[in-house]
Amino acid sequence: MSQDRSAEAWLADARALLEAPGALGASAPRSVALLSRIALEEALRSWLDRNAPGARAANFSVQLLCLQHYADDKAFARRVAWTWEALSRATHHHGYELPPLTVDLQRWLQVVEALAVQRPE
Amino acid sequence: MSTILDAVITALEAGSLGDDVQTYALAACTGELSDVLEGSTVSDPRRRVGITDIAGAAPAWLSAIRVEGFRGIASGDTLNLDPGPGLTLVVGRNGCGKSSYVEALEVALSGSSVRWSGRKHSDWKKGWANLHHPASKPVRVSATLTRDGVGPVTVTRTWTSIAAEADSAVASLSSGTLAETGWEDAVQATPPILSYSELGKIADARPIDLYTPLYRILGLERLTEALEALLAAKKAPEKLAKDWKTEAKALAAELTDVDDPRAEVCREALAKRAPDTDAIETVLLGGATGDEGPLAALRALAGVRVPTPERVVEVTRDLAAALQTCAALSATDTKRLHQTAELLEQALAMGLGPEDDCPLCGTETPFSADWDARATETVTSLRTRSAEASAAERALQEARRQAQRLATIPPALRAPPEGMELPDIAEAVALWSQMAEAGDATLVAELRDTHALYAEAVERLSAAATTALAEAQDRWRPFHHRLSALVEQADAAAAAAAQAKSLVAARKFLADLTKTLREQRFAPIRDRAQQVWARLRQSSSVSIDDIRLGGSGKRGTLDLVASVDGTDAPALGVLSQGELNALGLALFLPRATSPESPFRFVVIDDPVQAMDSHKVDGLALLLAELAQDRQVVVFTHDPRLPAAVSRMQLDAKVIEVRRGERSHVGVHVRQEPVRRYLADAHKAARASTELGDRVAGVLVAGHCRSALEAASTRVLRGRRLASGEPHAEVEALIRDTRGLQSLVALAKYDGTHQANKIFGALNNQSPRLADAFRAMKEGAHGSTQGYSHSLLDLIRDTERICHWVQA
Repeated sequence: MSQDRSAEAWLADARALLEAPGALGASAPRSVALLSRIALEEALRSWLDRNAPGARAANFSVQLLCLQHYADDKAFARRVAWTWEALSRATHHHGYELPPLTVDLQRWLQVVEALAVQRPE
Repeated sequence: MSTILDAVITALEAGSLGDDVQTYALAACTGELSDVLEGSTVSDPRRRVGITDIAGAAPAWLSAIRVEGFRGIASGDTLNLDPGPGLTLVVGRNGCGKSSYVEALEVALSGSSVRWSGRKHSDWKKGWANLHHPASKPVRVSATLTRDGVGPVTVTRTWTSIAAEADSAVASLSSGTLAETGWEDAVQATPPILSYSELGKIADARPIDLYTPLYRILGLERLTEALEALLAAKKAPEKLAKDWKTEAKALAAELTDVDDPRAEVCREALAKRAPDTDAIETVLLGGATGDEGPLAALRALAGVRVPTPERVVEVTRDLAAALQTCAALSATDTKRLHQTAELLEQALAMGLGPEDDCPLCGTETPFSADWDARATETVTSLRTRSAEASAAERALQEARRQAQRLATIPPALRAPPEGMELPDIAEAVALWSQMAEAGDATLVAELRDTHALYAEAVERLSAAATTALAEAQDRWRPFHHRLSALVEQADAAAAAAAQAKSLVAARKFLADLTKTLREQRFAPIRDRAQQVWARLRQSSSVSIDDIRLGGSGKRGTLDLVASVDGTDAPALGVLSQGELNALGLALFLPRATSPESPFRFVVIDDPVQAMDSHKVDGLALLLAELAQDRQVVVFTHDPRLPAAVSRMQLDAKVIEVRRGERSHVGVHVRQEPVRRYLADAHKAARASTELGDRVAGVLVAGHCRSALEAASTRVLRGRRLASGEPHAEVEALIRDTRGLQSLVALAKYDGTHQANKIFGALNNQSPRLADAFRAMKEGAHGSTQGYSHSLLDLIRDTERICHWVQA
């Protein structure tokens, strides 16, 4: 999919947008969520490459199950899955659900960052 | 509907109350009662009516609320609204500052807020200042209203005293131009704001908590306040009058034991139904009992004067001298002297000469030549001696008279009052009185001694009388003081009693009027509330058969006559929280939208709350209906209301309030979702230089995908709900549908199994549409390389796909 761009690059864009919405205005929070979700997906693929080679070919919900299976920190794995759900909810149209708050986005970004920097033991 | 003052004046004119009562009733209604009671000049309330006449005020629409440093909003933020009929939803999460706008509007218009007024805990009263707002900068709330045919007006309230509690702080603020607009009464009578706090109050279970906001809706608070003012005002005069009566009664009781003639008179005067203060005053001035009675006798005794010893000596001496003179002259026959003189005078008159004989004795020529002269001399001598004798006699008589007169007994001594009849004194007095008839010798011999005895006795008696008098005065003095105080305050007490009576009459008049007006004003509200409830209750089994206001003041009650499936039931017991909220709305909306209100807008803070989805649907319909000729502004954190509005394709503008760092609150107008997502996509496309092409690409793709999702769900909902499918099931279907293709397939073909047909169908429309569909699917996950057209093309094509889905 987007192997040509690292999770860190997407994360940097998401952060920059969160701190300075600039011309995006009201759509900034959803945009940040979109970039964060791409970063999460990319970070997970990198993690799988290191910890469960070949798993990246599976669809994303299987990838999340692999993370749950191979990760030592199960709680963290659950948090990643939950964050992906939350980011998806924020990026899809859901009736009149309100856009995410700054504090939510910050929390989610932290989870993605933690996933991106996890190195194999 | 007329104002409360109009109603009061009309009722006063129809009645026949006294001027005082009318003045008090009116002054109580205009808040000038204390001025009236203090006697200051008061502007004629009748003249003020013209200013505050609701009916005269131009219809007003709300065009902006501006807030600075108040509650949840630090920097100056403006919520712009479209003045005119229509439904506006202001959405935002809890704590985003929505309610701050509502309360700011409330404060701007009314000077207070339900949020803090009536709360006991000072946190409520102090929590209005924004914590991020510099204390040195003024707090400012303002509302801009557009008036038909008059032009806009901005009502601003500004204050600086951050530390103060809200009510006092707001009380001291400038009232802006509200007075000119004629809205002061309207804000009270037809408050255009139903705040969260107020809706919450309606849901509280205490009868008085239900009564108060409803009663408030009736706009009769002015009367309630007037009733309270009158009740408070009558206390002072009532006490004054009562204290006076108590003192009069106490005095009367105490006076029965006082041995004083004045006591009796005063007691009788006090015992009368209306105490005869004139009689008491006469007594106090020394009248009424002054000329008679024991006190007067004592006073006379004390004032008795006896002749001075010097005078007695003088009189005695004069008498003795006169007696002596008379004794010396006693040999003289004054008559003979007189007759002889007359004889000689007659002889002289006859002109007897030397040749004449004596006509008396016949002696011949006894008259010498100088006889005339000698006879004349003799006559003079005789006359002198005769006069001297008469004078001595008269002098004696006078001296005797003087002596006897000294012994005259003053009347006070003749009948001394009780306790003053001392035997030795009586004896001395009797002795002295005998002197009045005593002979000269006795007088000369005894007058002085008797006088000494008498004078000494009288002196003692007088001293005793003085003492007795002083004692009586001492006993009387406290009563004198109390009676004079009583008399002095009599007018004031009588005036106070009359005033209290008038105040009571004024209060009764207003209480009766309040009851009448309450019935009158509540009737249409009750009817409309029942209609609204019928609309909102949806599937609720509770029907509200009647709504009645009972009791009054602090003991007011709201009686809801309800039935569940035809069986009578206590309404509050069977209503859920959400149903209570609905009921609150049912009760509030009719009043706020009454035709008499100059406010053509109604602002509702979070009406959804605990309502279930059915009621939310009912509410959305109701609001939309209301919005046909009213400006309805609804603040809500609950996405179900905007969702319902959208689902039922009701016209509404959605404004989103978002809270940023340090209480900076942003206001964003949320358009119809498909348009909004496409606009967001445009923004991202335009920002591609600063974002980078790659990021801009995925954002445009993401927004386009959302636009298509929005278009699809709209189509799906519209169709499924129209066919009668339950709302919850439709929502569940949408929630559980994964993948853009499935959703679009559901929308286009009403089935997910058609998902694989989408690409082909789009390709048939145009290969570019299929490209765009793929780009939004993949781009949302970071991959945009496969799309060979521009971002603007993607947006344009997305729009075409949306049209295709909705076709």
